Amino acid sequence: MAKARPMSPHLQVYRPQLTSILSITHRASGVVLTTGTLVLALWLIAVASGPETFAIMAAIVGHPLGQFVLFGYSVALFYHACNGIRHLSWDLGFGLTIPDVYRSGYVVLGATCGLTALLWLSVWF
Amino acid sequence: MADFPAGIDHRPRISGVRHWRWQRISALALFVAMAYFVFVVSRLGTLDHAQAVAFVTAPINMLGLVCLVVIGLFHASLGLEVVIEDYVPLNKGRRPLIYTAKAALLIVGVASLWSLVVTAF
Repeated sequence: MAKARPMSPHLQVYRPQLTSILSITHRASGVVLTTGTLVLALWLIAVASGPETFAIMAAIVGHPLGQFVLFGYSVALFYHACNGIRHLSWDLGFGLTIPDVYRSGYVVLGATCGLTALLWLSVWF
Repeated sequence: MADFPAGIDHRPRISGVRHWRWQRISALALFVAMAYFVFVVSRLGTLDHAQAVAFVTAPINMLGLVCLVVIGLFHASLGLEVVIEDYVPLNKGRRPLIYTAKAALLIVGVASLWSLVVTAF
């Protein structure tokens, strides 16, 4: 039987590199952010339901564990947004050489850390 | 093409080009909506219920939230579809899984928008 189409690299024998790690992280962060729409929906439902339900939601969100989850969502959001810009620049034909791809990869990682730090410093102080 | 089991529809619902294009258009729109909300929400501090209602019903925020929910879920559904297509084979339930995922996102969207309507009126 002829192969119908090319196959993805076999990940078991594929040495992890910045490029491959950032690529799968883009997908993973996208899936994580999709679950974040449920959190937003629950918050909106709580607002619509009235003060009692909202107080429960506020307690969950304000709890250290809730804050930790929100922190995780913020990292996923900033990474996905920054790497999304990287993808859009590739779509426009910019930065497609291997050195450029590595450079923009490090820029995305730095921007993600910087924006996350900026957000939470501005929230806490 | 001939390798696909008979009776399994492998054709996507829309063309690859349109899928690709809408994923990017929605990404740009979502970027704007997200930038607004990350900035505004970071300024909010802790809200009580009355303040939350006031925030949600302010026209600019209401418009932004509707855009965020609709465009965000649209972008998510396009993304999830691609992820599922890449990792779940056709004969291992790809299409049912895609439909299930999209139905779940639709429920989240309807619940979000309905909550906004209830809050506003």
